[in-house]
Amino acid sequence: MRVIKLTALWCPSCIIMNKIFDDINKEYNFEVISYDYDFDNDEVSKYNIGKILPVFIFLKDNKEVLRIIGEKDKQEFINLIKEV
Amino acid sequence: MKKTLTIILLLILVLVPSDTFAKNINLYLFYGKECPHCEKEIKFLDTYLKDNDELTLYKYEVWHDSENKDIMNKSKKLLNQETDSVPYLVIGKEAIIGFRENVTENKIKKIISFYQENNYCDVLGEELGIVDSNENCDEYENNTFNIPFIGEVGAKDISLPLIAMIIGFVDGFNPCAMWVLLFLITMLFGMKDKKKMWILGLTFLVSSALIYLLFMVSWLNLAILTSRVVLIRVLIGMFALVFGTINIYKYLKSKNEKDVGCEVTNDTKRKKIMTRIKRIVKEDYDLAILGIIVLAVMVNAIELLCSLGLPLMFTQILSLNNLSTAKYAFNIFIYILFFMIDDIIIFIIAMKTLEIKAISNKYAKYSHLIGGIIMFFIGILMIFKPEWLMLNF
Repeated sequence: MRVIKLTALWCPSCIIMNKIFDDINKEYNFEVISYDYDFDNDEVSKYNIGKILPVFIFLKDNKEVLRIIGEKDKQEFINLIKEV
Repeated sequence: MKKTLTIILLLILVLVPSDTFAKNINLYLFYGKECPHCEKEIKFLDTYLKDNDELTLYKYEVWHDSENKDIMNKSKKLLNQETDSVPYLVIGKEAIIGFRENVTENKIKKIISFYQENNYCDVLGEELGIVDSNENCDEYENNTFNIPFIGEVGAKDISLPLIAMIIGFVDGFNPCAMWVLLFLITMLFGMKDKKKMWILGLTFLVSSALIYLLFMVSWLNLAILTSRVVLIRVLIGMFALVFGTINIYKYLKSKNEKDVGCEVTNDTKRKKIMTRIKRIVKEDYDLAILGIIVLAVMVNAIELLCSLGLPLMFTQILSLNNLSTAKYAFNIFIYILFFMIDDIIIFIIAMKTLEIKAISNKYAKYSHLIGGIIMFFIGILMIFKPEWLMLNF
Protein backbone atom coordinates (compact mmCIF):
# COMPACT_ATOMS: atom_id res chain seq x y z
CA MET A 1 0.00 0.00 0.00
CA ARG A 2 1.19 3.51 -0.77
CA VAL A 3 0.63 6.54 1.50
CA ILE A 4 0.50 10.14 0.36
CA LYS A 5 1.41 12.31 3.32
CA LEU A 6 0.42 15.99 3.13
CA THR A 7 1.80 18.20 5.86
CA ALA A 8 3.16 21.71 6.50
CA LEU A 9 6.30 22.82 8.30
CA TRP A 10 4.44 25.34 10.45
CA CYS A 11 1.66 23.00 11.55
CA PRO A 12 1.83 21.62 15.13
CA SER A 13 -0.56 18.77 14.35
CA CYS A 14 1.67 17.72 11.41
CA ILE A 15 4.72 17.66 13.69
CA ILE A 16 2.87 15.44 16.15
CA MET A 17 1.42 13.16 13.45
CA ASN A 18 4.76 12.82 11.62
CA LYS A 19 6.23 11.20 14.70
CA ILE A 20 3.25 8.92 15.25
CA PHE A 21 3.14 7.89 11.60
CA ASP A 22 6.91 7.18 11.49
CA ASP A 23 6.49 4.90 14.51
CA ILE A 24 3.57 3.06 12.93
CA ASN A 25 5.30 2.73 9.59
CA LYS A 26 8.21 0.89 11.18
CA GLU A 27 5.79 -1.99 11.47
CA TYR A 28 3.77 -1.56 8.27
CA ASN A 29 6.49 -0.42 5.84
CA PHE A 30 4.18 1.58 3.60
CA GLU A 31 5.67 3.28 0.62
CA VAL A 32 5.42 6.95 1.60
CA ILE A 33 5.31 9.99 -0.64
CA SER A 34 5.47 13.27 1.30
CA TYR A 35 4.27 16.61 0.02
CA ASP A 36 4.47 19.98 1.72
CA TYR A 37 1.31 22.04 1.60
CA ASP A 38 3.19 25.26 0.83
CA PHE A 39 6.01 24.04 -1.41
CA ASP A 40 4.40 21.32 -3.52
CA ASN A 41 1.36 23.20 -4.75
CA ASP A 42 0.84 21.23 -7.96
CA GLU A 43 0.83 17.83 -6.27
CA VAL A 44 -1.22 19.00 -3.29
CA SER A 45 -3.94 20.46 -5.53
CA LYS A 46 -4.49 17.01 -7.08
CA TYR A 47 -5.81 15.57 -3.81
CA ASN A 48 -8.54 18.06 -2.92
CA ILE A 49 -7.55 18.07 0.72
CA GLY A 50 -9.83 20.70 2.28
CA LYS A 51 -8.88 22.98 5.15
CA ILE A 52 -7.40 20.67 7.77
CA LEU A 53 -3.83 19.35 7.94
CA PRO A 54 -2.22 16.83 8.08
CA VAL A 55 -3.79 14.46 5.59
CA PHE A 56 -2.76 10.84 5.04
CA ILE A 57 -4.14 9.24 1.86
CA PHE A 58 -3.84 5.47 1.58
CA LEU A 59 -3.74 4.05 -1.97
CA LYS A 60 -4.19 0.44 -3.01
CA ASP A 61 -3.56 -0.26 -6.71
CA ASN A 62 -3.56 3.52 -7.18
CA LYS A 63 -7.08 3.77 -5.78
CA GLU A 64 -7.79 5.71 -2.58
CA VAL A 65 -8.98 3.35 0.13
CA LEU A 66 -8.57 5.50 3.23
CA ARG A 67 -8.08 9.14 4.14
CA ILE A 68 -7.02 10.15 7.66
CA ILE A 69 -7.33 13.84 8.43
CA GLY A 70 -5.95 15.79 11.39
CA GLU A 71 -4.57 14.58 14.70
CA LYS A 72 -5.25 11.04 15.83
CA ASP A 73 -3.64 9.11 18.60
CA LYS A 74 -1.51 6.10 17.71
CA GLN A 75 -4.07 3.41 18.47
CA GLU A 76 -6.86 5.26 16.70
CA PHE A 77 -4.63 5.59 13.62
CA ILE A 78 -3.75 1.86 13.67
CA ASN A 79 -7.41 0.91 14.05
CA LEU A 80 -8.31 2.96 11.00
CA ILE A 81 -5.55 1.29 8.96
CA LYS A 82 -6.67 -2.15 10.08
CA GLU A 83 -10.13 -1.49 8.74
CA VAL A 84 -8.73 -1.55 5.21
CA MET B 1 -9.90 89.42 63.01
CA LYS B 2 -12.09 86.40 63.63
CA LYS B 3 -11.97 85.58 59.93
CA THR B 4 -8.18 85.86 59.83
CA LEU B 5 -7.85 83.53 62.78
CA THR B 6 -10.17 81.01 61.15
CA ILE B 7 -8.12 81.11 57.93
CA ILE B 8 -4.85 80.67 59.88
CA LEU B 9 -6.38 77.75 61.76
CA LEU B 10 -7.57 76.14 58.55
CA LEU B 11 -4.17 76.66 56.95
CA ILE B 12 -2.50 75.04 59.93
CA LEU B 13 -4.88 72.09 59.63
CA VAL B 14 -4.11 71.69 55.95
CA LEU B 15 -0.38 72.32 56.02
CA VAL B 16 0.70 70.68 59.24
CA PRO B 17 1.36 66.97 58.69
CA SER B 18 -1.23 64.67 60.15
CA ASP B 19 1.51 63.03 62.25
CA THR B 20 1.56 66.13 64.44
CA PHE B 21 -1.82 65.07 65.80
CA ALA B 22 -0.93 61.41 66.07
CA LYS B 23 -2.63 59.39 68.78
CA ASN B 24 -0.79 58.11 71.80
CA ILE B 25 -0.40 54.38 71.46
CA ASN B 26 0.91 51.99 74.09
CA LEU B 27 2.98 48.94 73.24
CA TYR B 28 3.37 46.09 75.75
CA LEU B 29 6.34 43.83 75.21
CA PHE B 30 6.74 40.55 77.07
CA TYR B 31 10.25 39.15 76.75
CA GLY B 32 12.79 36.74 78.18
CA LYS B 33 16.09 38.09 79.44
CA GLU B 34 18.22 35.56 77.55
CA CYS B 35 16.03 35.39 74.44
CA PRO B 36 17.97 36.53 71.33
CA HIS B 37 14.82 37.32 69.29
CA CYS B 38 13.55 39.48 72.16
CA GLU B 39 16.84 41.36 72.13
CA LYS B 40 16.41 42.11 68.44
CA GLU B 41 12.82 43.27 68.90
CA ILE B 42 13.77 45.50 71.84
CA LYS B 43 16.58 47.01 69.77
CA PHE B 44 14.15 47.72 66.91
CA LEU B 45 11.47 49.17 69.19
CA ASP B 46 13.94 51.40 71.08
CA THR B 47 15.17 52.89 67.80
CA TYR B 48 11.64 53.18 66.35
CA LEU B 49 10.27 54.85 69.46
CA LYS B 50 12.98 57.52 69.40
CA ASP B 51 11.40 58.91 66.21
CA ASN B 52 7.80 58.42 67.33
CA ASP B 53 7.04 60.32 70.53
CA GLU B 54 3.40 59.32 70.52
CA LEU B 55 4.35 55.71 71.21
CA THR B 56 5.05 54.37 74.72
CA LEU B 57 6.66 51.02 75.34
CA TYR B 58 6.03 48.98 78.49
CA LYS B 59 8.46 46.09 78.94
CA TYR B 60 7.82 42.99 81.03
CA GLU B 61 10.51 40.36 81.61
CA VAL B 62 8.63 37.07 82.03
CA TRP B 63 11.26 34.34 82.38
CA HIS B 64 12.48 35.52 85.78
CA ASP B 65 9.62 37.65 87.04
CA SER B 66 6.44 35.82 88.04
CA GLU B 67 4.37 39.02 88.44
CA ASN B 68 5.15 39.98 84.88
CA LYS B 69 4.29 36.45 83.81
CA ASP B 70 0.86 36.90 85.43
CA ILE B 71 0.37 40.10 83.43
CA MET B 72 1.27 38.21 80.27
CA ASN B 73 -1.28 35.53 81.17
CA LYS B 74 -3.94 38.20 81.68
CA SER B 75 -3.12 39.64 78.29
CA LYS B 76 -3.32 36.19 76.67
CA LYS B 77 -6.76 35.70 78.16
CA LEU B 78 -7.91 39.10 76.98
CA LEU B 79 -6.73 38.52 73.44
CA ASN B 80 -7.56 34.78 73.25
CA GLN B 81 -3.95 33.78 72.77
CA GLU B 82 -2.52 30.45 73.89
CA THR B 83 1.16 30.89 73.22
CA ASP B 84 3.92 31.00 75.82
CA SER B 85 6.46 32.20 73.29
CA VAL B 86 8.32 35.45 73.56
CA PRO B 87 8.76 38.09 72.36
CA TYR B 88 5.05 38.76 72.71
CA LEU B 89 4.01 42.26 71.80
CA VAL B 90 0.56 43.73 72.37
CA ILE B 91 -0.72 46.76 70.48
CA GLY B 92 -4.41 47.56 70.92
CA LYS B 93 -6.27 44.32 70.28
CA GLU B 94 -3.38 42.77 68.37
CA ALA B 95 -0.71 40.38 69.62
CA ILE B 96 2.50 39.83 67.67
CA ILE B 97 4.31 36.67 68.63
CA GLY B 98 7.97 36.06 67.75
CA PHE B 99 10.33 38.26 65.81
CA ARG B 100 11.52 37.97 62.22
CA GLU B 101 13.65 40.73 60.83
CA ASN B 102 11.87 42.86 58.24
CA VAL B 103 8.65 40.85 58.61
CA THR B 104 7.75 41.65 62.23
CA GLU B 105 9.06 45.21 61.99
CA ASN B 106 6.74 45.88 59.06
CA LYS B 107 3.82 44.28 60.84
CA ILE B 108 4.36 46.43 63.94
CA LYS B 109 4.52 49.58 61.81
CA LYS B 110 1.38 48.57 59.92
CA ILE B 111 -0.63 47.93 63.10
CA ILE B 112 0.51 51.23 64.61
CA SER B 113 -0.40 53.12 61.46
CA PHE B 114 -3.76 51.28 61.33
CA TYR B 115 -4.58 52.43 64.87
CA GLN B 116 -3.38 55.95 64.10
CA GLU B 117 -5.97 56.14 61.34
CA ASN B 118 -8.77 54.17 63.01
CA ASN B 119 -10.40 53.87 66.41
CA TYR B 120 -7.76 52.67 68.84
CA CYS B 121 -8.44 50.97 72.12
CA ASP B 122 -5.87 49.82 74.63
CA VAL B 123 -7.46 46.67 76.07
CA LEU B 124 -4.46 45.64 78.15
CA GLY B 125 -3.83 49.22 79.31
CA GLU B 126 -7.42 49.36 80.59
CA GLU B 127 -6.99 46.04 82.42
CA LEU B 128 -3.75 47.25 84.02
CA GLY B 129 -5.19 50.67 84.91
CA ILE B 130 -2.78 52.51 82.61
CA VAL B 131 -5.59 54.07 80.57
CA ASP B 132 -9.24 54.87 81.24
CA SER B 133 -12.00 52.81 79.76
CA ASN B 134 -11.82 52.38 76.01
CA GLU B 135 -14.24 53.54 73.40
CA ASN B 136 -15.27 51.47 70.42
CA CYS B 137 -12.25 50.17 68.66
CA ASP B 138 -11.60 48.90 65.15
CA GLU B 139 -10.34 45.45 64.35
CA TYR B 140 -7.04 45.40 62.50
CA GLU B 141 -7.52 43.36 59.34
CA ASN B 142 -4.47 41.42 58.45
CA ASN B 143 -4.46 41.12 54.67
CA THR B 144 -1.00 39.66 54.61
CA PHE B 145 0.62 36.23 54.38
CA ASN B 146 4.02 35.03 55.40
CA ILE B 147 5.86 33.23 52.64
CA PRO B 148 9.08 31.40 53.54
CA PHE B 149 12.21 33.17 52.23
CA ILE B 150 10.12 36.07 50.86
CA GLY B 151 8.53 37.41 54.00
CA GLU B 152 5.25 39.17 54.57
CA VAL B 153 3.25 39.93 51.47
CA GLY B 154 -0.19 41.43 51.01
CA ALA B 155 -3.13 39.43 49.65
CA LYS B 156 -3.16 41.70 46.60
CA ASP B 157 0.58 41.11 46.09
CA ILE B 158 -0.17 37.41 45.72
CA SER B 159 -3.50 37.43 43.94
CA LEU B 160 -2.58 39.79 41.11
CA PRO B 161 0.54 37.88 39.99
CA LEU B 162 -1.49 34.67 40.31
CA ILE B 163 -4.15 36.11 38.02
CA ALA B 164 -1.35 37.29 35.69
CA MET B 165 0.04 33.74 35.57
CA ILE B 166 -3.30 32.08 34.85
CA ILE B 167 -4.58 34.55 32.25
CA GLY B 168 -1.12 34.86 30.63
CA PHE B 169 -0.78 31.09 30.40
CA VAL B 170 -4.26 30.63 28.89
CA ASP B 171 -3.58 33.50 26.48
CA GLY B 172 -0.30 31.84 25.47
CA PHE B 173 -2.13 28.73 24.30
CA ASN B 174 -3.80 30.77 21.64
CA PRO B 175 -2.08 29.29 18.57
CA CYS B 176 -2.27 32.38 16.33
CA ALA B 177 1.42 33.24 16.22
CA MET B 178 2.81 29.81 17.11
CA TRP B 179 3.07 28.70 13.49
CA VAL B 180 5.65 31.44 12.77
CA LEU B 181 7.90 30.19 15.56
CA LEU B 182 7.59 26.59 14.34
CA PHE B 183 8.44 27.55 10.78
CA LEU B 184 11.33 29.73 11.97
CA ILE B 185 12.76 26.85 14.03
CA THR B 186 12.52 24.53 11.00
CA MET B 187 14.42 27.07 8.92
CA LEU B 188 17.01 27.54 11.69
CA PHE B 189 17.66 23.78 11.66
CA GLY B 190 19.07 24.23 8.16
CA MET B 191 21.87 26.43 9.50
CA LYS B 192 25.24 25.10 10.50
CA ASP B 193 26.02 27.95 12.90
CA LYS B 194 24.45 26.92 16.21
CA LYS B 195 25.23 30.26 17.85
CA LYS B 196 23.36 32.08 15.10
CA MET B 197 20.40 29.73 15.54
CA TRP B 198 20.18 30.63 19.23
CA ILE B 199 20.62 34.35 18.61
CA LEU B 200 17.99 34.55 15.87
CA GLY B 201 15.48 32.43 17.78
CA LEU B 202 15.95 34.36 21.01
CA THR B 203 15.76 37.67 19.14
CA PHE B 204 12.38 36.60 17.78
CA LEU B 205 11.10 35.60 21.22
CA VAL B 206 12.41 38.72 22.99
CA SER B 207 11.11 41.02 20.24
CA SER B 208 7.70 39.34 20.37
CA ALA B 209 7.64 39.80 24.16
CA LEU B 210 8.58 43.48 23.82
CA ILE B 211 5.86 44.09 21.23
CA TYR B 212 3.35 42.43 23.53
CA LEU B 213 4.66 44.57 26.38
CA LEU B 214 4.10 47.67 24.28
CA PHE B 215 0.52 46.61 23.53
CA MET B 216 -0.19 45.88 27.17
CA VAL B 217 1.30 49.15 28.40
CA SER B 218 -0.86 51.00 25.87
CA TRP B 219 -3.96 49.12 27.03
CA LEU B 220 -3.04 49.82 30.64
CA ASN B 221 -2.55 53.54 30.07
CA LEU B 222 -5.88 53.70 28.31
CA ALA B 223 -7.48 51.75 31.14
CA ILE B 224 -5.99 54.07 33.79
CA LEU B 225 -7.04 57.13 31.82
CA THR B 226 -10.63 55.91 31.54
CA SER B 227 -10.88 54.05 34.86
CA ARG B 228 -13.19 56.69 36.35
CA VAL B 229 -15.55 56.71 33.39
CA VAL B 230 -18.26 54.23 34.34
CA LEU B 231 -19.69 54.03 30.82
CA ILE B 232 -16.36 52.92 29.35
CA ARG B 233 -15.93 50.32 32.07
CA VAL B 234 -19.42 48.97 31.35
CA LEU B 235 -18.71 48.95 27.60
CA ILE B 236 -15.48 46.99 28.14
CA GLY B 237 -17.40 44.64 30.43
CA MET B 238 -19.95 44.08 27.66
CA PHE B 239 -17.16 43.51 25.18
CA ALA B 240 -15.74 40.87 27.56
CA LEU B 241 -19.16 39.20 27.77
CA VAL B 242 -19.49 39.06 23.97
CA PHE B 243 -15.88 37.92 23.45
CA GLY B 244 -16.21 35.33 26.22
CA THR B 245 -19.45 33.98 24.73
CA ILE B 246 -17.84 33.72 21.27
CA ASN B 247 -14.94 31.75 22.75
CA ILE B 248 -17.23 29.39 24.63
CA TYR B 249 -19.25 28.92 21.43
CA LYS B 250 -16.03 28.16 19.53
CA TYR B 251 -15.25 25.46 22.10
CA LEU B 252 -18.71 23.93 21.86
CA LYS B 253 -18.45 23.93 18.06
CA SER B 254 -14.99 22.36 18.05
CA LYS B 255 -16.07 19.75 20.64
CA ASN B 256 -18.05 17.89 18.00
CA GLU B 257 -15.52 18.25 15.21
CA LYS B 258 -14.27 14.89 14.01
CA ASP B 259 -10.95 16.04 12.59
CA VAL B 260 -8.81 18.27 14.77
CA GLY B 261 -5.73 19.67 13.08
CA CYS B 262 -4.21 22.80 11.62
CA GLU B 263 -6.71 24.94 9.87
CA VAL B 264 -5.35 26.32 6.62
CA THR B 265 -6.33 29.96 6.31
CA ASN B 266 -5.04 32.97 4.41
CA ASP B 267 -2.46 31.37 2.10
CA THR B 268 -1.17 34.71 0.77
CA LYS B 269 -0.33 36.17 4.18
CA ARG B 270 1.33 32.95 5.34
CA LYS B 271 3.39 32.54 2.19
CA LYS B 272 4.58 36.14 2.43
CA ILE B 273 5.80 35.61 5.99
CA MET B 274 7.41 32.27 5.08
CA THR B 275 9.30 33.80 2.16
CA ARG B 276 10.52 36.55 4.47
CA ILE B 277 11.76 34.03 7.05
CA LYS B 278 13.58 32.02 4.38
CA ARG B 279 15.31 35.18 3.21
CA ILE B 280 16.20 36.32 6.75
CA VAL B 281 17.99 33.11 7.76
CA LYS B 282 20.26 33.40 4.74
CA GLU B 283 21.37 36.95 5.62
CA ASP B 284 24.47 37.95 7.59
CA TYR B 285 24.21 38.46 11.35
CA ASP B 286 23.21 42.15 11.47
CA LEU B 287 20.69 41.99 8.69
CA ALA B 288 19.27 38.72 9.95
CA ILE B 289 18.74 40.12 13.46
CA LEU B 290 17.12 43.25 12.05
CA GLY B 291 14.95 41.11 9.80
CA ILE B 292 13.83 38.96 12.73
CA ILE B 293 12.89 42.04 14.77
CA VAL B 294 10.83 43.41 11.87
CA LEU B 295 9.25 39.98 11.45
CA ALA B 296 8.28 39.82 15.16
CA VAL B 297 6.72 43.29 14.96
CA MET B 298 4.84 42.36 11.80
CA VAL B 299 3.54 39.00 13.01
CA ASN B 300 2.45 40.27 16.42
CA ALA B 301 0.73 43.29 14.87
CA ILE B 302 -1.12 41.06 12.39
CA GLU B 303 -2.12 38.57 15.08
CA LEU B 304 -3.04 41.25 17.63
CA LEU B 305 -6.77 40.88 17.09
CA CYS B 306 -6.45 37.14 17.59
CA SER B 307 -5.36 37.72 21.19
CA LEU B 308 -7.09 40.91 22.20
CA GLY B 309 -9.61 39.96 24.84
CA LEU B 310 -7.52 38.56 27.67
CA PRO B 311 -4.75 41.21 27.81
CA LEU B 312 -7.42 43.90 27.63
CA MET B 313 -9.26 42.35 30.57
CA PHE B 314 -6.06 41.93 32.56
CA THR B 315 -4.99 45.56 32.13
CA GLN B 316 -8.49 46.61 33.22
CA ILE B 317 -8.06 44.59 36.43
CA LEU B 318 -4.64 46.20 36.99
CA SER B 319 -6.01 49.71 36.51
CA LEU B 320 -8.85 49.04 38.98
CA ASN B 321 -6.27 48.12 41.60
CA ASN B 322 -4.45 51.45 41.37
CA LEU B 323 -0.91 50.13 41.84
CA SER B 324 2.52 51.72 41.81
CA THR B 325 4.38 51.80 38.47
CA ALA B 326 6.77 49.10 39.72
CA LYS B 327 3.86 46.80 40.59
CA TYR B 328 2.16 47.42 37.24
CA ALA B 329 5.44 46.53 35.53
CA PHE B 330 5.93 43.43 37.66
CA ASN B 331 2.44 42.07 36.98
CA ILE B 332 2.71 42.71 33.24
CA PHE B 333 6.12 41.01 33.25
CA ILE B 334 4.59 37.92 34.92
CA TYR B 335 1.74 37.92 32.38
CA ILE B 336 4.10 38.08 29.40
CA LEU B 337 6.44 35.47 30.88
CA PHE B 338 3.57 32.99 31.19
CA PHE B 339 2.17 34.05 27.84
CA MET B 340 5.52 33.19 26.23
CA ILE B 341 6.34 30.13 28.32
CA ASP B 342 5.15 27.54 25.77
CA ASP B 343 7.13 29.28 23.00
CA ILE B 344 10.25 29.42 25.20
CA ILE B 345 9.97 25.72 26.09
CA ILE B 346 9.41 24.65 22.46
CA PHE B 347 12.37 26.76 21.31
CA ILE B 348 14.79 25.52 23.99
CA ILE B 349 13.85 21.85 23.42
CA ALA B 350 14.26 22.30 19.67
CA MET B 351 17.68 23.95 20.01
CA LYS B 352 18.93 21.38 22.50
CA THR B 353 17.65 18.26 20.70
CA LEU B 354 17.49 19.55 17.13
CA GLU B 355 14.06 17.97 17.04
CA ILE B 356 10.92 20.01 16.85
CA LYS B 357 8.12 19.39 19.34
CA ALA B 358 4.71 20.96 19.20
CA ILE B 359 1.70 21.38 21.41
CA SER B 360 -1.29 19.50 20.11
CA ASN B 361 -4.04 21.53 18.49
CA LYS B 362 -6.44 19.48 20.59
CA TYR B 363 -5.63 21.82 23.50
CA ALA B 364 -6.53 24.94 21.54
CA LYS B 365 -10.24 24.28 22.12
CA TYR B 366 -9.67 24.16 25.89
CA SER B 367 -7.85 27.48 25.68
CA HIS B 368 -11.01 28.86 24.03
CA LEU B 369 -13.16 27.41 26.79
CA ILE B 370 -11.04 28.60 29.75
CA GLY B 371 -10.33 31.99 28.11
CA GLY B 372 -14.03 32.36 27.34
CA ILE B 373 -15.11 31.56 30.89
CA ILE B 374 -12.51 33.96 32.35
CA MET B 375 -13.62 36.76 30.05
CA PHE B 376 -17.30 36.09 30.70
CA PHE B 377 -16.88 36.34 34.48
CA ILE B 378 -14.58 39.35 34.35
CA GLY B 379 -17.17 41.01 32.10
CA ILE B 380 -19.96 40.36 34.62
CA LEU B 381 -17.82 41.65 37.49
CA MET B 382 -16.79 44.76 35.54
CA ILE B 383 -20.41 45.66 34.95
CA PHE B 384 -21.99 44.70 38.25
CA LYS B 385 -19.25 44.28 40.89
CA PRO B 386 -16.07 46.13 39.86
CA GLU B 387 -15.02 46.40 43.52
CA TRP B 388 -14.52 42.61 43.55
CA LEU B 389 -11.82 43.05 40.93
CA MET B 390 -10.00 45.41 43.28
CA LEU B 391 -9.09 42.31 45.30
CA ASN B 392 -9.54 43.97 48.69
CA PHE B 393 -10.12 40.82 50.68
